[in-house]
Amino acid sequence: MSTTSQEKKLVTLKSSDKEEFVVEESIAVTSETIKNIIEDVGLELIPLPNVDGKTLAKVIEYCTKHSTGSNDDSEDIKKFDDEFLNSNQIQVLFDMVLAANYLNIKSLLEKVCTKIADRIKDMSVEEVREVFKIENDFTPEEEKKIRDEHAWAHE
Amino acid sequence: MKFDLLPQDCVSYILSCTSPRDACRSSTVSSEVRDAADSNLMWEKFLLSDYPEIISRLVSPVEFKSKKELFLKLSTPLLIDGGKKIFSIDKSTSKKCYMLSARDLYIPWATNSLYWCWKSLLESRFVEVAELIMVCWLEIQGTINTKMLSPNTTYGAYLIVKFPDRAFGLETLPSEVFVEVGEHRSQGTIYLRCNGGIKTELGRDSVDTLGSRDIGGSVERVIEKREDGWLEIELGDFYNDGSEREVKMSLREVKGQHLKGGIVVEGIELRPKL
Repeated sequence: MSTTSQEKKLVTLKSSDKEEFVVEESIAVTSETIKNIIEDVGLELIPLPNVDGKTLAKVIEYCTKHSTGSNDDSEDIKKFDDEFLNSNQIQVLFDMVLAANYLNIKSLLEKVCTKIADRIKDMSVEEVREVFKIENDFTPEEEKKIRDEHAWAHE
Repeated sequence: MKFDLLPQDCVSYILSCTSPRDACRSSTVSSEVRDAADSNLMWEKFLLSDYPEIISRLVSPVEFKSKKELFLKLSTPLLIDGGKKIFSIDKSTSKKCYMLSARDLYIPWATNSLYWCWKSLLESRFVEVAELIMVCWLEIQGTINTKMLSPNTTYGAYLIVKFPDRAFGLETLPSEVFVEVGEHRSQGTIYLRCNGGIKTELGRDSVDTLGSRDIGGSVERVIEKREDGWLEIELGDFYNDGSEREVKMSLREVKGQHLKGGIVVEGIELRPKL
């Protein structure tokens, strides 16, 4: 991190499970949501009831890495992103999507969505339901109708 | 884990990072996923950014009530540019595909009815196809500008033909095929063997997909059957990096002094090569 003689402005982010993180404002505002709160309301302690501590810690790690001013295409950043999102647990990725969406961090949202999309590709319908724990709310007739509508996709 | 906590926009975004095929397949997972999979937000991403311009060039107007419907319609072959070409979006990759009609190609002597004749065939989507009566100099060439195609894509160029029963002289010598873009050249040779029980040394019908063989730098191509009843010959391939360049695609048999005839040319197709 670069050092300057100026004091860096800090903010405190509080997760849904009451964990507090002290972060430089310049890093925190990677999140458009936090940026708007600071600009509109000027809070120094920002409650984030929709993000738990574990996920918030990871998001802060991401924002810190991506605000160092280095190019998003650099090898260093790419390597970081690969390892950062390298989770076998769908739950972790889901929590990240929800957090990135709520905090409005576009680049993180895009990357996590792409990661989840990579899992979905080539998965059968049953596999998608099992992995993402989605309940099938179609009747057999409804399901058949939709399948027939997109017969080419099920070949 | 509560999947339904995810806002529909997020689900749509995730699906838009897959492919049209995966997105349509996901419609059967649950009603919520189906709604996200049908959203305009998602299909906007699959639709090419210049689709209004493409629609304006179609011969017949296309009506659509949703972006998904528009995508599915554009993924069927449609006449474009006054009927000289056919356009479609490849469903798996969302990339542009074109077929140049025989009229859009450069075929020496094609205007002379002693050598080539133009006729309508029910099996062709174009108004006319070209049938070779007889020539010594057989050359069929097409050009296209890469700006019409999708960037960052490898394309294959295929000559679409048929061989009526009266075909002759085409297999005496191998024809040369090539694709040239700037410095890049992809080339091969092919024996224009007609179907109809002619066996190769391996004892199989020559139009079976035997795969191409590499013969000293120049690949020997084979004729492949298509689903629409035509045959195709790969002329070559190239990578479109997005810069604007002319692509030249050609088949020729100009070394043999003998007469050849009977090949029917529908056009040259360009489609993404996986």
